[in-house]
Amino acid sequence: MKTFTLLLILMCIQPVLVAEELFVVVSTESKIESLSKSEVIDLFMGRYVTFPNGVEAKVFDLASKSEVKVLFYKQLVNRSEAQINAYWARLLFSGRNSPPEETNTPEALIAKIRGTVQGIGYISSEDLTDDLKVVYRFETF
Amino acid sequence: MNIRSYRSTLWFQLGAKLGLVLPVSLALFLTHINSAIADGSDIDLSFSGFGTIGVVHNSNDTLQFNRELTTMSGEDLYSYNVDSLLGLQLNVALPANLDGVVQVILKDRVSNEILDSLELFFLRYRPDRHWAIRVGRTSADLYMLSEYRNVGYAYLWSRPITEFYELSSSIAKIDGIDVSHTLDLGGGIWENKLAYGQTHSVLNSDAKNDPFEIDLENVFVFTSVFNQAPWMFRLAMSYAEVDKLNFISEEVVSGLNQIPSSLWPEAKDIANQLSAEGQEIKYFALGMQYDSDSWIIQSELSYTNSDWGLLPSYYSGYISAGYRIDEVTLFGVFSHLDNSGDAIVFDRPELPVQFLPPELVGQIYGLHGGSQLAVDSVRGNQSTYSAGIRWDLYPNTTVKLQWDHSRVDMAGNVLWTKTQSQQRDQNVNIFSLNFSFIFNL
Repeated sequence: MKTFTLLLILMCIQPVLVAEELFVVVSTESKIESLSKSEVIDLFMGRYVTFPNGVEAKVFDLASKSEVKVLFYKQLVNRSEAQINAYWARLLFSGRNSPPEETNTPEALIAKIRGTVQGIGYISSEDLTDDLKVVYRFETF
Repeated sequence: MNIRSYRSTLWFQLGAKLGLVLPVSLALFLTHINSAIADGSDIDLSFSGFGTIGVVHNSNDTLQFNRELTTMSGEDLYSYNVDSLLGLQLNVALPANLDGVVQVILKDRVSNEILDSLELFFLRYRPDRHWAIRVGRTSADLYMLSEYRNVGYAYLWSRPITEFYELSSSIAKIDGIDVSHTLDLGGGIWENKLAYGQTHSVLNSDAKNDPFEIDLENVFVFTSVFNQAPWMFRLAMSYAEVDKLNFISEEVVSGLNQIPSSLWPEAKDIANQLSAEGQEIKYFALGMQYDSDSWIIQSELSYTNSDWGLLPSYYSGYISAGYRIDEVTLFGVFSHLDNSGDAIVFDRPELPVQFLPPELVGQIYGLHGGSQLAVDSVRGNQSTYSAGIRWDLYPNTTVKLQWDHSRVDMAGNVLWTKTQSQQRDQNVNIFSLNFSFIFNL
């Protein structure tokens, strides 16, 4: 009975895990085809302000308290939201770099990327549409 | 003061006080904004800010606590002025790889000059992915927290570790130019930066009405930082020359120079040791940080070298370890400051008192006493054990509680403002509660 319950729980969890696979996306008009994880970190952690080809990047983020955001930074750099905020406070107020522009919902973020050739953001795989190009996908766990 | 007179005062100070660097960068800034507006290009303005509301408890009535020397000490049992501050920042993104930053910080400064509240004011040009050139007022990048030491939200402790940061943060802002280069190296990022310029600082002294106002010129700062998560290593070297000093010690120097060497042969030597102009200051620092998901460990060591009697060479360093449990981080720090050389002792002049007017004898003994006091009061010898907790209440706010236990040598209390002379080694306990936040406007 215990094994059966465990199986049942696992079956319920599995689809959630698949649904929360994350993609880093750009507009289909972007010249960027793919990025390495380190290049994604460069952009989202403000280490560089341009794509590897030298084109200026416009990074979009989700507002705080979003589950997708929490998962994204956990997978990208293994940091909590508070750690990411403290990190960006260091970069912003030292005058080094400005944090990504925040959008309130995944829909708003997708709309921003569609409308910005040099834009880049992250989405849950279930939100992927034809006018977005996946340039990095996190390995499923 | 109304806004109009505030602005005209600001302009006057820009022109008259700080030479050419700031006015030139302001002109560049405005020219670019104007031409961008004329082109119809996009200018992206963003306002943000940070602050701390803090209270410090200190029951010692001889030694008043200082966070840094550019602000006033905590004079009371409970002091709110020590850690509390408010910062406002404007970022301007311009076309053609240009951007600018203006940051103003309001705190209980020793200086009452408006321009000293201007913490950052620069125009930056990034010709490509790897290079950046900044002109204007920037932070002197001497140590790990130098660029964000005012942003309590951005680090673990209640304030930058005083043994390490209090003296060195006296040189906080450089008016000049810097060039930085960033390179990918073996999976990490390596940044090298060279800055050149001048600085102006008004510092806290034991004489409340006589602040220590010092200008440095030919300031060079070289910084090299290698970052490969979870590790960070950094090296900094700096060189500066004292341009001028406005402090009572300069009166002692001119008094000493007037004493005939037949009466007191050592007077000229003492004057040269105390005289500020042309003195060279060299600073070296190493730092490392390990920042994983649960542990944050960091350490910095520095050595400051100078032959100036008012800045005896010293070592300082700290090691800090923090452990994160969800939104709470527990931390402990050990820090130390010590002079590398022996204390200077000026021998009391042997005067033929019977042949001299009593006023002259009094004056010479007064100069001797003043000289000895000056070199004694700038020595530092102390250690501190700190323990604290940081609680990230909400993504943009944090509360910190910290206890610092310092052992201060009676002949090494430069970090404290003295209400009376310290007669013995003392143990001081500082308790602080801070609320720090960041915000966007």
